[in-house]
Amino acid sequence: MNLNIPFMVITAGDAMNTKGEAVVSIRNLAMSYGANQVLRGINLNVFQGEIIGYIGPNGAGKSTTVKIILGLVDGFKGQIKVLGEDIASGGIEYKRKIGYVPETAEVYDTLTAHEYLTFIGEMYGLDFRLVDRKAQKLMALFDIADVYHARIASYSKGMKQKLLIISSLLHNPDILFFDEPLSGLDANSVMVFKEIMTDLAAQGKTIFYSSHIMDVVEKISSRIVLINNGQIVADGSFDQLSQKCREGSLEEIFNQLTGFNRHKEIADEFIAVLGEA
Amino acid sequence: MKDFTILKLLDRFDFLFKKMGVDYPIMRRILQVQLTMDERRVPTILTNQKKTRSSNSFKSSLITYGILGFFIGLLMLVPFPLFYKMNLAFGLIIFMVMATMISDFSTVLLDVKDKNILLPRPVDARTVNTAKLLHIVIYLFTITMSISGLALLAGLYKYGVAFTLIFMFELVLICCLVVFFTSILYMAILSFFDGEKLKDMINYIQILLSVFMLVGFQFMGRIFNLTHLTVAFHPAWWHFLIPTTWFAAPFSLFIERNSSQYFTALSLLALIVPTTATVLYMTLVIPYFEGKLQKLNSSSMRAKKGAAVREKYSGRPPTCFASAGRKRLFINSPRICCPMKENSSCSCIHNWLSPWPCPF
Ligand SMILES: Nc1ncnc2c1ncn2[C@@H]1O[C@H](COP(=O)(O)OP(=O)(O)OP(=O)(O)O)[C@@H](O)[C@H]1O
Ligand SMILES: [Mg+2]
Repeated sequence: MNLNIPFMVITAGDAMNTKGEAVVSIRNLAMSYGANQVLRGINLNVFQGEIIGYIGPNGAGKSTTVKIILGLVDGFKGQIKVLGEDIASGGIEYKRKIGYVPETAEVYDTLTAHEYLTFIGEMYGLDFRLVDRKAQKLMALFDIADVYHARIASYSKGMKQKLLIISSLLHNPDILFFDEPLSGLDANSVMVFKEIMTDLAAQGKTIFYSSHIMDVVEKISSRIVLINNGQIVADGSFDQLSQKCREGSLEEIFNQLTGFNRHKEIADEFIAVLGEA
Repeated sequence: MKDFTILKLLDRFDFLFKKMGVDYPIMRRILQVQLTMDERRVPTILTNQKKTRSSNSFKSSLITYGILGFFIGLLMLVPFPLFYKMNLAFGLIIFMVMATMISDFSTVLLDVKDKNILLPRPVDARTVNTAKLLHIVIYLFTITMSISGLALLAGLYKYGVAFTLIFMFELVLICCLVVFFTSILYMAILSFFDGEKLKDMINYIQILLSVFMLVGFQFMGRIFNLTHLTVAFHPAWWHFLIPTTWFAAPFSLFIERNSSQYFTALSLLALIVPTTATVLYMTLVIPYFEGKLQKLNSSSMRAKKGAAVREKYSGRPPTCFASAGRKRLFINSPRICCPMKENSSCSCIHNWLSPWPCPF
């Protein structure tokens, strides 16, 4: 499936370099699972205060990229620096400045939120009482205060997602990696969370997040990075992308850049298969 | 969260951990969480109850072990030669510990969730690994003690302090041996299959182990000729292949003072084999797993290699092992014995134990 990438879009890097040193820099990142080459040379500099929307089709390698940066996946090629520290060097200090919401809810779900969040907080060296107080307040703000002492296994999907978001922010990190943070959140909570992201960025925090909800990405990202077939095919602000692609919405840009225009045919075929006797 | 006694005990040795380069407070916290979770694994139906329900599945499984331990304890009081009794006792202990380890080792050793939760945090690998190791040790200790605690006391009453000391020392050796064998087994499975298949394989292995132990018990029974109610036994070369004889021999040697070459040789084996196994474990097995764990996530490579084998066996449950009735038992039994994992595969130990044909 070798798509003809319409054109190499905008490398915003030149303009951005004035912002000083990158907080995350990725050089020639390549990764393969066996014969399956997932990433084929990703180059990306992320600067302080940016909200980067990292998008791409299912299986494009978004989560893989984030997991590599967090040190969850080994065996990649290339160089990654977070806050100037090479992550391959085995140091752990940079992780104090990072918050991460994984794409699947990986929590100890036989614990209560109280137990889990204080545990996570203490992993960052925070004082128990401080974390407890913060966690309780944050849970209340997300409207799940009443389950603070209930086991996580009894939570709904959205409640778990809120817990994950809180657990990633407890230690007030400088760089945030959100992998589909909105999944399962109701419309009201999405509004709150969008506001939170914008405010965090205004405070000088850097946010790197992947999502499939295009209008959210379109609205809040200061920069959009689109990957397809293991490579970056677009990188720039929404305005820059829409100018280049002559499309009005991010959804259409996404379709165009991933070379996709068959949604109608596929849907028809899908329905046809369902009807097969 | 509960503060466990064992953790308070560990606190006294915190300087040791610090010397090893372990972040002790963090390690203690990880252990505390792990132990709490061990206590809480309950069937998912109960999870919506708010906060702590005192239904503690780990404790209930320990009680099951305790009941078995009671019989082993009784065995100590029967006026039979020690070599015979200890063979039986160790047979049961090794079987139980081994079976539990096989089903639970995967969660401790290959737990990906643990990795995903702890790795993004600023916790170094040494601290995490030490916590993991201690977790296994504590777990193994609790199980071993609940099975053999009563036997230790009964032996103390009947044979004195020397008996108890030898017994305790041997239990440590046995645990080392069990850990070694379990990890070898996992190594074997993992070199043929990917991580996902591991769970299924463990089920099969447990069945095989049960069969193997059954045959083993038959042989053990044969060591002695129980004729005319006097226990006679004649040394033979194949006795040396049965681990229980190694561990039973020192009692004959030191308590009953049967200082024959046969017992001396067996006693030496009891010391040499577990020690060698532990050294091998430290130098070969642990590094192997470190490497393996990293590859465990990338399943596609190995999937191809194992595919041929898997195809051969897939969709064919080992019906040959179980009659219909027993198979039902297999499926319906409540999961009482599995403190360490939720999707437990170890319920079958109990089922294989309950209809256990007594070989003696
Ligand atoms: N543990 C794994 N073993 C083997 N292959 C994997 C593994 N994890 C991911 N992959 C493969 O890597 C590719 C990228 O996966 P990844 O999860 O990064 O996609 P993604 O961009 O996050 O997709 P989505 O939008 O669905 O979340 C996929 O082809 C997937 O099959
Ligand atoms: Mg993903």
